[in-house]
Amino acid sequence: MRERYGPWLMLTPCFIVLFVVGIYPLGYSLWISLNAYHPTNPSFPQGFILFENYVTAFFDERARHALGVTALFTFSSVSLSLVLGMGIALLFNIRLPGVAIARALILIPMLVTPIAVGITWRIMYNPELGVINYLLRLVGLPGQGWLGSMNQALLSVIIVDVWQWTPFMFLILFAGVRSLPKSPFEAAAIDGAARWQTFLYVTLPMMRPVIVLAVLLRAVDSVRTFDQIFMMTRGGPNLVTDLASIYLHRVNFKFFDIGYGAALSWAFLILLLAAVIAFIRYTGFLRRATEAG
Amino acid sequence: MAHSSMNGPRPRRPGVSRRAILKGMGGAAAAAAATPAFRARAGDKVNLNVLLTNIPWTDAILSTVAEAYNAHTGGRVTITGEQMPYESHYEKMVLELSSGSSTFDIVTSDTIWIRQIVNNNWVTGLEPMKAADPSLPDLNWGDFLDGPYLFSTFNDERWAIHATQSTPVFVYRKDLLEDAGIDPPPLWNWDQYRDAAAKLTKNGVSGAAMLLGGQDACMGDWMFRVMGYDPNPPGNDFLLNDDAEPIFNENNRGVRAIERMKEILDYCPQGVFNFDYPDGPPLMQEGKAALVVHWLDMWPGLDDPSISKHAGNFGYTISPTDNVSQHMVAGWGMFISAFSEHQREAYEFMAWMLEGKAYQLFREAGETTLIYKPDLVDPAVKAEIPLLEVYDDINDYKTTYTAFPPYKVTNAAEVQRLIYEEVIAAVVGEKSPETAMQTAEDRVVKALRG
Repeated sequence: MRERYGPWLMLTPCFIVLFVVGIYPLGYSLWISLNAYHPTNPSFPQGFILFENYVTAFFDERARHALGVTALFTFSSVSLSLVLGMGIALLFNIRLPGVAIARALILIPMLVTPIAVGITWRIMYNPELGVINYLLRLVGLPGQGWLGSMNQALLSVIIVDVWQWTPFMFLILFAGVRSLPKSPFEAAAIDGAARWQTFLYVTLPMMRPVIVLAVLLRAVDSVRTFDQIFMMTRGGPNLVTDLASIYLHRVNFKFFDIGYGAALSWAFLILLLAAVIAFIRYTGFLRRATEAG
Repeated sequence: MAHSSMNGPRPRRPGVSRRAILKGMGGAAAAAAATPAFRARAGDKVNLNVLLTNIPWTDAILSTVAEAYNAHTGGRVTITGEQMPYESHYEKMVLELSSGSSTFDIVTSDTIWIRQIVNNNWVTGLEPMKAADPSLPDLNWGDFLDGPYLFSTFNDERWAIHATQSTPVFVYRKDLLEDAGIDPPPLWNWDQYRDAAAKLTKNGVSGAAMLLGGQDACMGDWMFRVMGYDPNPPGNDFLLNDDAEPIFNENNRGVRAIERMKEILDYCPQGVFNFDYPDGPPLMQEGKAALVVHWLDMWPGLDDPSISKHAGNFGYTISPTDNVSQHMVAGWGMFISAFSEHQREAYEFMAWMLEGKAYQLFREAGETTLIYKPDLVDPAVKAEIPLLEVYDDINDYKTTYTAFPPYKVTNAAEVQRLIYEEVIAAVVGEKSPETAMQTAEDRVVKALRG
């Protein structure tokens, strides 16, 4: 009897914690998403409405726009930080004096609170009083509108995201580069391969699982970006940086339309999961990881 | 256990044991102590916690006002608080109150959010409290400007005290106008404003500034123009009439206001589409813009030479207009939370504030949006705060006060956001002003679900 139920008994506290902090809130948010729930507007219609919130979400022009901005932001930010992270990882793989210190310093942006990053960059980007335009004008170039420009705002927030999270890419990719076996490189050298050929045909294929992992982690994180954008633009100007997270925040905490906000969250979550699964299947990440394991 | 097994069960004493009596007394004391009424009667020290935003008068609440009131109560009542940035203040306030939290005894609210907290019964009205309990001290309303009470009077009873009254003020650089040969008219219209902005845009100075990146700030820029077209009938708030129909584009005034904004875009600083409240003062202090119309409470440091490069060169008057001169009022109100365990003490604190000393301390802390009448007629105060010249102009030009929309609806923040999105879409040229206003009306009607 003890042998049969003992392990379950020992696991019970874990299950309770998992249920309380994980499953219950998820289930509750799913339930809320099926309701009209306006806790701060008691005169509004309230109650169970089945999938009406999801139907509204499907036709919500703002939600579709936010999704598009998020996709563009994530794709650009992850791609740029991947290229830069890989470049820095390869550079730091060369034994040069001072590399160890530089390696530590390069991680600093990743350690800064995103809110602080947002405030700092907002000040730096200020077209009239910020340091970036000051430096541009110093070398005879015209100042730019940056966060206040319809054409440059999204690029500006992507730059900040890349600045903050390239170190994360570097960290993972550098670990991957350092763990590569030496013999294939020696073989390539003996065969007379040029550096770019070695990189393209030896380094990249061997790094593929690491790259896929880094991209996956970074992309999921990038989709959830909120703090920096909230501090820099709050989704503006004219919604050009209105990421899904910013829109969700507005629906939930400005409109307090909690039922609809929950439905939007679930819709975004399902889309994100679908994208992640498609990415994993496309790259064969799990299969390779299993084979490697 | 061993004792009882060896000697058998201990004989039960007749009646109630001493331990049971002590336990009962302890329980009763704990229950009594847990009731707010007991704590209030006990004469113990009481702390009033206040939810505040981060402007000069709120600094005073936490320092000089708190000290003065603590001394006034003989050390019995202390004041503490939490200061939130403007945008986060609304979220904090609604989350705290909607969850029935007693963390804050007093909440401060911008005028447009007031209906939300009142309609949800999250606050307790001051005059209703007084009516229910005549032993409470009287409230001295007579020494204060009436404007903000447009927002916090329900069924002829005042629910809040107001700390400040803000109104649009036209800030201009006197020296630049003089250099450009522009003689400031007594009451500007928006044509003159645009022409002056065009003329003043040179040498790295932008002729005008707007704050189009913040929801509330951009709505201000738009509303300052809307309010100048038609007289606002009693009962209207420029957003909805008494039948809850949108009227903000009545007689095309919403469209005309957008066009007025668009016509000065070329004379505004780069990045104008992302500027919010914090970006306004540095622009003027650093001499990057020559003209701006915005809320009075934004400009406390303009004439302080330690932070403003052009202190002494600023002139202040009422907002330009195209037809009628009406001035919106707004400001911050202080309410007693319905969930406070110290409502009586909170009431007494507010009654003390209305005696006037607290408002003098606000002024000493740098607050410029004064509502204490003795301050407003004091020549020394007016000399110290040139911004107050705007009140002279309001009197001189018989400007009437009107309320800042959309204060009448429970979901004011949402309605304001919807209009803001359409206004900014038109200002950046993504939509025509007519389409934007039509869409705004449709969205507002949809948002008024209740």
